[in-house]
Parts: sequence; structure tokens; C-alpha cells
Amino acid sequence: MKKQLAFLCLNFCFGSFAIAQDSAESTLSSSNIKVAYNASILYPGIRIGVESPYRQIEVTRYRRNGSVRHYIQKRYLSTELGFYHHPTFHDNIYLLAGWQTRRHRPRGFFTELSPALGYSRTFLAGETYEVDESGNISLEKRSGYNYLMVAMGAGCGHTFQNGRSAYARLSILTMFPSNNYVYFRPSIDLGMIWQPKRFLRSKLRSVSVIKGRKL
Amino acid sequence: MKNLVCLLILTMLSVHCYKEEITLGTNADDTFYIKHEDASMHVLVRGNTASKIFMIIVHGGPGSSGYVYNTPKLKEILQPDCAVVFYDQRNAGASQGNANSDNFTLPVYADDLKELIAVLKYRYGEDLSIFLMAKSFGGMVAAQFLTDGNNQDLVKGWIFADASHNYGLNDSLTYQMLLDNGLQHIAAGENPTGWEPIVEYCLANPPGPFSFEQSFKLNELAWKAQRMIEGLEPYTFDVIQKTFLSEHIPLTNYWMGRTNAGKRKFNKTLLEIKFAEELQKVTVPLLVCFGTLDFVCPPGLGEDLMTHIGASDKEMLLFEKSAHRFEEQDAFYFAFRKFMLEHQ
Repeated sequence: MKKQLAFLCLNFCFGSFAIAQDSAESTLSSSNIKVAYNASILYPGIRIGVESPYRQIEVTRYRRNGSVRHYIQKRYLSTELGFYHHPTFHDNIYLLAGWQTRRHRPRGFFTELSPALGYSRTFLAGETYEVDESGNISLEKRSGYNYLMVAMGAGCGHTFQNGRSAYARLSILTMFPSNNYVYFRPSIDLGMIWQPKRFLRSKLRSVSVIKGRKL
Repeated sequence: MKNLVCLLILTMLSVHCYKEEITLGTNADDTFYIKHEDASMHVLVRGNTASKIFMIIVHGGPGSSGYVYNTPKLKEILQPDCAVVFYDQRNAGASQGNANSDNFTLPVYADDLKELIAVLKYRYGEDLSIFLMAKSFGGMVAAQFLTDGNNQDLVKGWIFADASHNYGLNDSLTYQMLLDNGLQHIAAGENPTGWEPIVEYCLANPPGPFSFEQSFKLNELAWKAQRMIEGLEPYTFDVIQKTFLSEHIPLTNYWMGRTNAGKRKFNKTLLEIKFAEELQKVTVPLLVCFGTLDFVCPPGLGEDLMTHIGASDKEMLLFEKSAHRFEEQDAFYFAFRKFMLEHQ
């Protein structure tokens, strides 16, 4: 066990520094569009977004047992607009800006992690009354609250041969300050991603790296 | 893409203009909010609004919800004859808001309640007969409300059920009940392993002004004692579990309201709350209902209220098979109904 731990530490300390960067090039790449059905238990919602790739790392990893593993790590800057409807509680519109990393396997399967920060505006799901100091009662239109939102998502998906992808993601939406504290809401996204030929093109830096040693 | 986003935003905004939906009938189901001092309180009105008899649930906690009392028994016994107002206090249940720590005070809770009554009268008519059903911490909110100015003129009666109006007295009574019952059970050889830690804690923390931490611990032990005590009417407290989907309960909001409550500075300020002489000015009819086996808010609190209240029309009922959850649902709700019908 100790030997394994020592190997892991050494691998981390030296192996990662031993990454060989074979090539690096920059190209213009179109952004992706994503649309997802977003749900918390029964409460429906939608999330649409744009993700602009800025870095692509093609990794070749040589393992100790002699096998070789290839994958592509893509990083994106993303913007998402979301909405959900929770009857008798609130409706929520939110805008998120985030960073995203996605690891693509050769057969099309990918996993992703997507932290994001943004703004949320809720609308209370019912008439909202205010009473002024004189006792006059008025009905407030579009009553609700503004929150700072932090979202953390992790998911997986598959890229098909036509370049389109389907994905599922578990997200935790956290809103501050809610009721003088915090409100969080787990949700599941089921969506599609596609990349138009020319859409919000951004500079994509591609590099290839080799990890480990060829036996 | 731009058009799609604009269309989406417009669609969303258009669905947020709520029209007033007021039901005056025998089976109302209205949801609305009261906005006051940086919080929007969730209000659900169910039952016979045409009767003009409204029972507002002033729930406990702080941090619980009015909705947790929405049992089938309550619906069956109370709602045919009156409307029940399931009111979530600020930062509890389905209520919403931003940062509002400055408004965590008992007078603000009482003002929230006053505004709720004003809005109920605005919606359902000035001729409403409103009753407060104060439970647990709600007893303090109701006491604050009724002892302030002419607020008591806004209601027809006060139901004080398993409630508290005096934090220090509450702690002392809980302490004594835990110690007496613990010693009794240990002597009789009944579940000594369960009662011994309770008795040990009581003996190690003799009565006196209890600190906030001691008070918190006594409350925890009171709940533990209620889980062990024999003779309770079987009752499962499962309103939320059974209805959270059909009633659209925002579970995490409820949970945060409950878990957050103990950490708030507000709870510490309650340690000093004691309504005694000022209760003399409260003259509205009073019904006091307590479970004999309530360790959380012992029946002695009801006796103290009966002593200090100014009302001449007052009655205290004890429910021998109940603790802190209205275990004898039929008996409690029939008593509430009788009181409201007699004093409407």
C-alpha cells in the first residue's frame, strides 16, 4: 500500500511535469448551442446556452501495464439562460456564465464538469400584497427577488457521428442570500448540443500531450 | 438565436402577472403572498371561506411551516365549517426573501401577522371572524401581537395549543418534567437505558436561568422523551412526506428554514421573552389546549397563561394521550371548531 501511495505521489510530482507537448496550433472554431429540458422532480424548466471552446488537449496516456489511452479534453466558456416553473412557490429566470471541461473518449462518450456563476430573478407564484403604513393594500406586479446564483453541474453524454451530442447533467443551483441564508435546488438536465458551421467563432488553441512513458 | 431569447423572455414575463383569484365558497384553495420588511410570506387558504370564520395557524419553530398541520383530520373536522389559513412565517416554509437579519424580531413577526389579517379582510370581507391558533413558538408571536396596541380587536379569539409565551418558564417546566419522568421510569425499570442519559443531563445542569445551549439541549431531550413515553395516541407526523409532490412543497426551502432556525441570532433573543403582566390587557376569548405528555411545551405554560390573561371567557383543556403534535387529532380539532363556532 505504501509503495502504491509513493508511486502515486511520484507520478503526480514528476509524471505531470513530464508531460510532453508535441504540437500546438490555433484555429477558429464555431461555438456550440445547447438546449436542455431541466427538471427538479416534477417541475419543468428549460436551459439554453452557448459554449465557446478555447482549448483542446489531445491526450495520449501510456499506462504502466503497457496499454495506451487516448482522449480529448475540451474546455469551454459558457453562457446559459434558464427557467423553471414551480407552482405555488416561484418561477425563476437565471443567467449563468461558466467554465466547462469535457473529456471525450474515442467512441463518443464524454463526461463533463461545469461550475458557473450568475444572476437569478424569481417571480412569486401567487398574488403578492403589500400594506403601507396607512393600511392601504396594493397588489404588487411581478413580485420576486434577485439572487446571486452559483451552479455546479456534472454529467455525461454521447457524441453521435453527425457531430451532435446528447447529454444528461445533474446540477445544483444555489441562490444567495435566500431567507437570510441560502436556497439550493438539485435539478437534472436532459439536452442536445450541436455545433453550427459558423456561429460565434472563437480562437481555439489545440495541443497534444503525452502522459506517462512508452514502455 | 437573439429572436429565440427575446421570445423566451417575453413568454416568461407574460406569465408572471397574477390576477387576483379570491374564492368565497365552501372549498377554497387560494395561495398568495404578503410582502413585508424584506420577506414574502406564503399563505394558503383552504376550506369554507363563505363561513367567514378563519383560523390562522401561527406555527412554531421558528422555522417550521403552517402547512405541516394540513392533515386529513384537520380537513375533515375544520374545513367544512371554517377556512384554515396555513401561514408560513418569514424565512420559513415556502416563504421567500433576501438578506433580512435586522427583521428577525418578535415585533416584526407580530406586524407580519397584522398585515396578514388586513389582507385576509381585504380579500374575503371586513366581516370575517378571525381566530389565532398559536402553536409552540407561535404562542410568543400571538402574545406579542395581542398585547400590542389594539390588535386584539382584529380577532375574535385565541387558541393557545401546545404553545409557549415564556421561554424561561418553558425551560424550567421541561427540565422538571424530564427529571420527574426519568426518575420514575428508571425506578420502575422501564427503558432505563433511554432515560438515564436524560436524568444525568438534568442532574448535571441544575435549574437556574438556563443558557441558550442548555435550552437547546433540553428541547432535544424533550423530543427524545416524547419518542420513548408510553400512552400516546398513535400518530405519524408525515404530512410533508405524503403530499410534497401533489402540493408542490419546496422541500429544500422547508429544510433550510428548519435547519437554519437554530443558528440564527433570533433564537438567542427569545431566551428573554416572557409575557406575564402585559397579558392582563388581552380580553379576547381564550382556549388553551395542551397534551399532558408534551415535554417540549409542558401544560404548566397553559396554566400560567390562564393565570395572567385578562380575558374572563377562558377555558383550558388537557389531552391525556397527546404530546407536542396534536396526537389526539379528533379531540383537538373538535375543540377548536366548537370554540370558533361559539365565538364567531
